[in-house]
Amino acid sequence: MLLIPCPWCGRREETEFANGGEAHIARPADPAALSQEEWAAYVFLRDNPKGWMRERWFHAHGCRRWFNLVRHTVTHEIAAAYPPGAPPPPLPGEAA
Amino acid sequence: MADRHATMLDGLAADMAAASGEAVTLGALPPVGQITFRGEPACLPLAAAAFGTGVPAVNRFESDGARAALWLGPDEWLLVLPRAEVATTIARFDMALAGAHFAAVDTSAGRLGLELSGPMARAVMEKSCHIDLHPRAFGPGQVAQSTVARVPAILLQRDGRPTYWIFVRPSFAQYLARWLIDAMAEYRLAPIAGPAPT
Repeated sequence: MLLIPCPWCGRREETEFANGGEAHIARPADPAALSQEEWAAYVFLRDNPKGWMRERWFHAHGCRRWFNLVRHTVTHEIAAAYPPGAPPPPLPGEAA
Repeated sequence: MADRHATMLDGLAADMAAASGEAVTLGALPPVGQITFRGEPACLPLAAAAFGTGVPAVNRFESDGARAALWLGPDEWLLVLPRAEVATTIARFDMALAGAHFAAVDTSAGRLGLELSGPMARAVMEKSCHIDLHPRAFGPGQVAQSTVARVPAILLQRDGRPTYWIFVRPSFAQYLARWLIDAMAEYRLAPIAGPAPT
């Protein structure tokens, strides 16, 4: 069970949250100009790293806000939580 | 109150009274008016002044006795007040916050309240809720949204007895009341009658 630090409510148990997948997927500025392959990559293709990852989470049973989390996909260690729109922090071990 | 609304919990009033004892009591709150208030940060002090309480801090509520403003999120409060005052309060927001970006919506029908109180109330809550309710982490004046017995709920602590108020969707209210009645049973066991052991 993870204790997830919601940027607004504080540390709460994992059952209150829903995972929203990889964070910082930018919608293409001009979707009509994309090829089928490029659109498919935008919609479906996600990183699946074994290690640190920036993810979106939703505090479904709490404040009902989305936020971003830096989590290690193997150890479940949580390095940072930050609101949407904030600049992504460097991953642990990565130069700032 | 003559115009008290009938609720889903009326049929369980006797059961809740029978389950209550010195250690812990359970009862339905009289149906209260509720306003879901959302607004940009700049208008929150004005809104609190118009409502008549202070600005609730994160995870806390502000109350003057008859009214309470519950912090639910960075731009969202639940305002609890007598039902008869809901319309006039929303009208007061419309006047006081004219031009600001806000929404005040009457959601009085959206939740029913239960009150759980007594020296063992925390022990009952801890069977069903994974919020840390120990006094070092949760005390009078605090509010949290979480799940209680798997039901999404707004939980607040009124006093140090402790007394908790739990607001849930009306359709979950009977289930939660029955769940709490069951959870309270172990704290009101009658002394075993019979001859004293020799």
